[in-house]
Amino acid sequence: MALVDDLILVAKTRDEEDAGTDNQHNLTVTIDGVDFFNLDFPFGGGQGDGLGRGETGYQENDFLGAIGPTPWWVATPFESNDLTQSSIRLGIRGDDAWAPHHVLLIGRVPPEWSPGRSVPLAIETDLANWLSTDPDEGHLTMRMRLVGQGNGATLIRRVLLVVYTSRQDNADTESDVQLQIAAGGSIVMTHKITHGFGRGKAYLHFLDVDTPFTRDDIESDGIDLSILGADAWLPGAIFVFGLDTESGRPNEMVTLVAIRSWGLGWLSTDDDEGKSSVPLPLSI
Amino acid sequence: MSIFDNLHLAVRTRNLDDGGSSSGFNLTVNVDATDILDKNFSVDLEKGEATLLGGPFPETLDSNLLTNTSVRLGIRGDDAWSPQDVLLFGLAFERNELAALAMETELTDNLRTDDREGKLTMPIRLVDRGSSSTLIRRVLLIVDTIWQHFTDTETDSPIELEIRAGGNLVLLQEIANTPQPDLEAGKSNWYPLDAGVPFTRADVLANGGITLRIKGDDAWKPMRLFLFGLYTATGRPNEVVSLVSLPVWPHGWMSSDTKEGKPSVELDVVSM
Repeated sequence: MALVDDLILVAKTRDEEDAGTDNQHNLTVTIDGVDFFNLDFPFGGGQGDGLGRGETGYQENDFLGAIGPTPWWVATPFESNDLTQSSIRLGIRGDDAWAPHHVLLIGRVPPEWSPGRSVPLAIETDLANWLSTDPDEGHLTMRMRLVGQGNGATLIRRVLLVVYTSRQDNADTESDVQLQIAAGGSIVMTHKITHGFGRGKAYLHFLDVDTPFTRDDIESDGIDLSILGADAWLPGAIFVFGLDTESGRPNEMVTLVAIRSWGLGWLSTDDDEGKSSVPLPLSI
Repeated sequence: MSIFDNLHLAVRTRNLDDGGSSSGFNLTVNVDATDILDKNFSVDLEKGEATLLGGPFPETLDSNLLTNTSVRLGIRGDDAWSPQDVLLFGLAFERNELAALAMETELTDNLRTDDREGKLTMPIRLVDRGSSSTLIRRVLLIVDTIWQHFTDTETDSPIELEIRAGGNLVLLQEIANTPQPDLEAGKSNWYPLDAGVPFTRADVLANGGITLRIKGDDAWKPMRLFLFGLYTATGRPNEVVSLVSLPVWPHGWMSSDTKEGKPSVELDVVSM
């Protein structure tokens, strides 16, 4: 039993001409013929800046600290076990066609005591379709298939990193950032991300691992996030999922890190501005 | 059997100002994460007006695979539409089989792409097909009138539906002057009719029948006619029983003037 009481939607636009959109999106979550969730939202956070070519959008509620631009409560919490493969659909509200690349829906499952845990609910990857209200340009809506949540023994062959940079002043950085995972006594993955992180912007990366591993193999403080420069960075939210497939759409996603409201401080190689690295706590 | 090769969507618009729409519709049917249908329809509906959309299904549809989250109706434009009733039904032509699949009634939401005035899509919940012993308290007549060049196919004459079951007259209703464009050329009509006496399909087959008659000499030429029995006296039915399926009207013209057409026709009860 897993009662979901709020949602995060992460969507990356394809990096091709006219792929971006200024239109609002629409997400429905339907269980047994009832829409438990039916919300329109701008990925641009209502600022009118839309979702550009190659960009990633991040939408969540602000229950834990005003990270996301739009409140996103689930009016009626739903039981994730009641979801079917037909339950979740993403649509668009206008004729500025959008070309999605990857789309991920995360749900928060509240425990008896906060902070709760985040579980992947549905994912589509490597999409080739378009969404538009204009029937000549694309589908009105698309389905999102459910994804399994795996367990501590699920063999992880790739990692999905979702990063949302805080909207605080100067939160952005041009410094490179590195994610490293140690499991079973060795480093199983090291990746350096070099594109910089814009303030209030989201990023989604599929990262190959050197050696497949399991969540149970991960050592204490085994997931390390480092900054490799002095341009200080303040993340807003970070998720790390372990994927069971080497390529394509995963069947199972194991939550490794789920920080919805970053509280680990600034990152910088300049000691006066922050820490150069922080261990990321394993998700409960 | 639950395999259908034709899918039809019947809708009725609420009879209120600005209820109609010229925005296109979008119907999706999803089975186990696959959109087996993602179909757009061009429509132009006035307030109170009904329409009957559909046709051959791209692949055969096994209705046993549908769930309550499978069917969604959406809109493709910002001319808001106020649906009142929606019925999705399947046909198997070769077997001459008809089945209601999903239905919503007495809706209050609007559909519109502009998020300020309505939803983008809405779910259409499944209905049970019932059985020959399901008690029928209302019937739903869906009929459209053919449109032909230089031919006055529509009628101003009232029509009447009569149903006999178990040797008794259980329904006798005249249809005239509803808020819809009644029996006009190229138009569809959605007529819910109360049964005076609840009845079953089995009773109709055993000692009864269904008669459609025209009560005037303004000749009328239907195109398609479907008749369903509804389990509930009001509200959304949880069981919808197939009674008559005429995807191609076989009886020609109808008129009380026998030189112009038949004053009445017997409608065969369809297989389930």
